Amino acid sequence: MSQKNTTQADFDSTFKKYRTGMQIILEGAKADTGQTPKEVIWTKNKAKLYHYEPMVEKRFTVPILIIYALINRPYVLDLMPGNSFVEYMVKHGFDVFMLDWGTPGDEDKKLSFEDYVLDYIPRAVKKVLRAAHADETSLLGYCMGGTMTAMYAALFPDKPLKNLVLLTAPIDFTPDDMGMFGLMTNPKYFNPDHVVEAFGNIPGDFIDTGNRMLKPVTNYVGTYITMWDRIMQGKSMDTWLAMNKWVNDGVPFAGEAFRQWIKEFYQQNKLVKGEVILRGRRIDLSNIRCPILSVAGSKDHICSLPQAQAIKRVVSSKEVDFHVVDAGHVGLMTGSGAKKDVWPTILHWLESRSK
Amino acid sequence: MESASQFLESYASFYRTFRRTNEEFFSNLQLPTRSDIARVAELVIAVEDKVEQIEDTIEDFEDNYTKAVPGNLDERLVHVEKKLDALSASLQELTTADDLEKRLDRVESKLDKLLVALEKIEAKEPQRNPKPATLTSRRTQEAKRESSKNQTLPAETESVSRRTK
Repeated sequence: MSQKNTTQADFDSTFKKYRTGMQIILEGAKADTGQTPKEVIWTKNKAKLYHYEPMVEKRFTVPILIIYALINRPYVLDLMPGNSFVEYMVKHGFDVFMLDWGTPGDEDKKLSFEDYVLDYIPRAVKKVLRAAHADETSLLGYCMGGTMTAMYAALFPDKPLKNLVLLTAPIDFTPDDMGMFGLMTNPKYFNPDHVVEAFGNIPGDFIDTGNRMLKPVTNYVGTYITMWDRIMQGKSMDTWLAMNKWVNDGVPFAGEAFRQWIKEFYQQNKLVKGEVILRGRRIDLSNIRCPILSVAGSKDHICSLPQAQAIKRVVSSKEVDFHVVDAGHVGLMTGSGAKKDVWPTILHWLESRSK
Repeated sequence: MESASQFLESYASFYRTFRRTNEEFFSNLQLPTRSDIARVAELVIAVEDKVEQIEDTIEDFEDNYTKAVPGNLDERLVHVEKKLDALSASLQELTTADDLEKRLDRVESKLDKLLVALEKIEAKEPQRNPKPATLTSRRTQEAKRESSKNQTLPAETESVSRRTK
């Protein structure tokens, strides 16, 4: 009788686990992300500027503006309570703002880096200063957001820019340093004009597939092995679900910006040569003079180490701290190592420069 | 890589043709297409941009005004009023000083007259007493002269003293 009951219980438990796994595969991961209390203080077209509500008394007069990539959701930095970089900084007395680019529609296919770097970022900075009653601000750019932040810093090197934090931000696009990306974006095999003419905006799935194909086994097979493993062992699925939701929640890339990104950055490597021109203004990274902290992952296949490391030799800043972490592109800010290493590094670096 | 590139080119070309055909089909049916809606959205974005520029201008004005006029307007008005009060008080003082000056002038002129009268008396005195006087006798004589002068001009000195008061 007892043996029969145990078998029945095991069967129910295993069936429940399979049902959970199949539900995730068929319906996609569902998780409550970006829960740190915030307020939208400015909008422009689809973009929103968030101001995170203080949790403790403000300790630093210099606020932080986080600028994320155009092709992913910024909530990866505010994944879930207890695993959120934003929450961590707010709890340490920083005034934190984040620029969410939103989802471009067909009407935004002409948006280019001129618009993002010369219109959106300067206005967002202005709103941050006004909301924080501050004269200066620190900018934190992640991935493509880091490249854009560096471009902004080169064009507006003086006040109000106080500190620059770059996380896995590609600066040098020499094909040999980019691995598979260098091959995939080689002009011999890829003409961005054809894709932009066909799609207008580049679908999120298109970009996502490109990124996943850099490590197809890890991304298409490894992820789900991890999922089944965690389900079968009865481990918490919260972080996995939040991360998986984020990975599959890609944003379309505005057509014109995509064309520029592939041609001028990946194919012609104009940024590091000082040849990128936005509305007649040349971007010379040697104009950057503020203190810089650059963090890169040794396992990052989207922004390789030499791509991020280039910042050290192109800027005029007296203080350039380069920090290498044994992590990948996303794990750098969300993995277990992030809480122990990357977040405290950023916190301590900013603490001494934000009063 | 070569074959992936060719596949992508073909897919993009097919997608472009499919999209264009759909656009034409719906416009023939007199129905708005995605492009039409996108055009309207572009206009809305342009309007939003203009509103934002106005908002920016107002904010800039507010910021500059606050910088130029620190503190409360009421407080500043109180300051101005206090300064005006101080100015009027100073003016009043100046007027009083002017009066005093005139009165002093009058006193001086009267004293001058007295002096002239004294000199005349002095001029008459040596004729009555030609003997040279010693220093002490001269002082006694002067004292007498003073007292006699007070007796001869009582009304005038009185009026002077009253005015100086």
